[in-house]
Amino acid sequence: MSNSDNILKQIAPYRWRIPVDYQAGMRVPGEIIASERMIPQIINDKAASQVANVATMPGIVGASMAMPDIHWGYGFPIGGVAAFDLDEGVISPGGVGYDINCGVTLLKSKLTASEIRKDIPSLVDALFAEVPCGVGSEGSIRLNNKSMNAVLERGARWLIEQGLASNDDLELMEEKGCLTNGDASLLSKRAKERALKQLGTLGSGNHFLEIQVVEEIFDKTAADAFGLFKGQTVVMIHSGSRGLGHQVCDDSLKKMQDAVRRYGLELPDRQLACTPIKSREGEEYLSAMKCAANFAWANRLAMVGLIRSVFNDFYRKSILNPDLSMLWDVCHNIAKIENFEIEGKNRALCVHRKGATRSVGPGDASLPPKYRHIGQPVLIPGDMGRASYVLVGTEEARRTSFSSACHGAGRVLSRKAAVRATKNTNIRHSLAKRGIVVRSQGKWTLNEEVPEAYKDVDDVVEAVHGAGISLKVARLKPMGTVKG
Amino acid sequence: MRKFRFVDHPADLAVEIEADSRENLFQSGLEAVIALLTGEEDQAILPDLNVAKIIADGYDDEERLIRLLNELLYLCQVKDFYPFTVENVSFDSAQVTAVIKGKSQGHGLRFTREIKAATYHDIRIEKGKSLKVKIVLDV
Repeated sequence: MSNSDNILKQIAPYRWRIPVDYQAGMRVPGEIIASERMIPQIINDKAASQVANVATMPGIVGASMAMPDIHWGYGFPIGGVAAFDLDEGVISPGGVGYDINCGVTLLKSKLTASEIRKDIPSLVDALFAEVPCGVGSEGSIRLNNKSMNAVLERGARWLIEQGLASNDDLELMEEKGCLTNGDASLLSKRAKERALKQLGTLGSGNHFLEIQVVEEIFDKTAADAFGLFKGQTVVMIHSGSRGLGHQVCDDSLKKMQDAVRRYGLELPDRQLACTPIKSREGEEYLSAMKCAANFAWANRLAMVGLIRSVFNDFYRKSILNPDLSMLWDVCHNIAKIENFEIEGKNRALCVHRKGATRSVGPGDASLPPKYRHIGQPVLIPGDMGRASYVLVGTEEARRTSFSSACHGAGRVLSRKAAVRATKNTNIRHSLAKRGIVVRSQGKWTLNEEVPEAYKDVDDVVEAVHGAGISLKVARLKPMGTVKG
Repeated sequence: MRKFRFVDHPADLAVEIEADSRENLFQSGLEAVIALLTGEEDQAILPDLNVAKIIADGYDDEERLIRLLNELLYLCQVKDFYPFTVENVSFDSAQVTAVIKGKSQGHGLRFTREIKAATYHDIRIEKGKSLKVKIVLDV
């Protein structure tokens, strides 16, 4: 066991504790999942202080947790997980973030990388042309007030009702692509206005879609259950609720700044603004957040349709059959009511995941029958130069991390620093030399998203694997990437 | 006097603002956001600009500032107003009003960046010889 600058004390391999006396007002300890090698960077980043800040919030249960991709965010750290008692606890829009239900979809194909490698530049061009991306991009599905409300309350199911996706897709999405009991009438006119033309759009920043090859299999049993094999072509989407989610968060934060004063809550950071879960403001936020989450699921599934069309059109006259099918879809910015055993008692808790992926193990009733014996696929996007991962959820995660794992690689360089470091580098050219074709809309997107701006996803995944909260199944290597 | 500079933040973007008055502090905040959206810190002004007014209220200046910046984001990213300059910032009781000059919808100009929101993270206006504040923007 070793300590690190007396802030973090190692309590088990890959598990580090911030003691409850580290900061005044902490109600529970902090806990960070990380390898020893990652700790200096985490301390230097100030994110550990944000874990401690979250530990001061009313009704928090167990520990304020962070995953190994932790980095300094606003309010909650990115990579943060916090669970709150339903009676005494609070709900915080800052614990979910502006991009509500930002998440990842993974599609598997019947194509091998060797069969299509020569087609990658053309496929990436076609995806770049067909999937709207970048600042101000608009989707082809136009919503009116009625259809908007239907999307907000029925999520991905709405696309099936329109014949734009299949029931098979729905079965393989977290929550089957819809959080029930969202009330669309609670969303502001502005929130809906933002979404009118954005269904089926990728967005910008760190959002992407990527053609990948399954480079390595670590767990053949789980890979077989997920339908993955070495050399297989897969497609990953990373996107969220677009402007609608941003507006829901902003609207809710406005209300909660008032609620914090009204309920006399003392918080170390105004971005942690929150309200009792069982208050009018809390219930309204949860309902509005569900609607935004539902929009995000519909958004990603709409892009699945576009991607399938691109592949099917491309191989229309070929003997190759892409047969892109859903492997899984996860959300990693969300608050959900979930049940956990705490000190021998089964309790319903409001689990906030801000940059963390649900990771449930074998036997969980929420999983579709085809995965129930093996556990949930945990999708971890990396950077555009190195790798992404498929992991499988574990029972250990239920015991130690409120069934959560990391959500990505996590940034180490600010966007400004990344641009500074790569100003004279042609990122597209340098990635092409590594066999990765990249297309992007934004002037500085590729510089800001350069692989070196992120932690090495291998290290991050090794930490969650080592801690046992999610286990490695497959490593995916990028072949072609579309960025906003 | 008013000035802003962008500083490093691991996940997002942060801007430090310094000014000699409330009005200039708020104006500088708006100018920083305009610089980020348009990719230009010193844009060439086009002729025949339109005028838009944005208003925010709040419990204190910190809240008013963040809300005003989010009003600007709504104006630009949803109403497609392409901003060039901040003409005026004025206060009336708990309300702040800013007049923005720019091109209305249909301008054909492109924003270079999407900003999700100005955040309340650690927001505190330091009041000394000058006014200083650091704002984290979620991008």
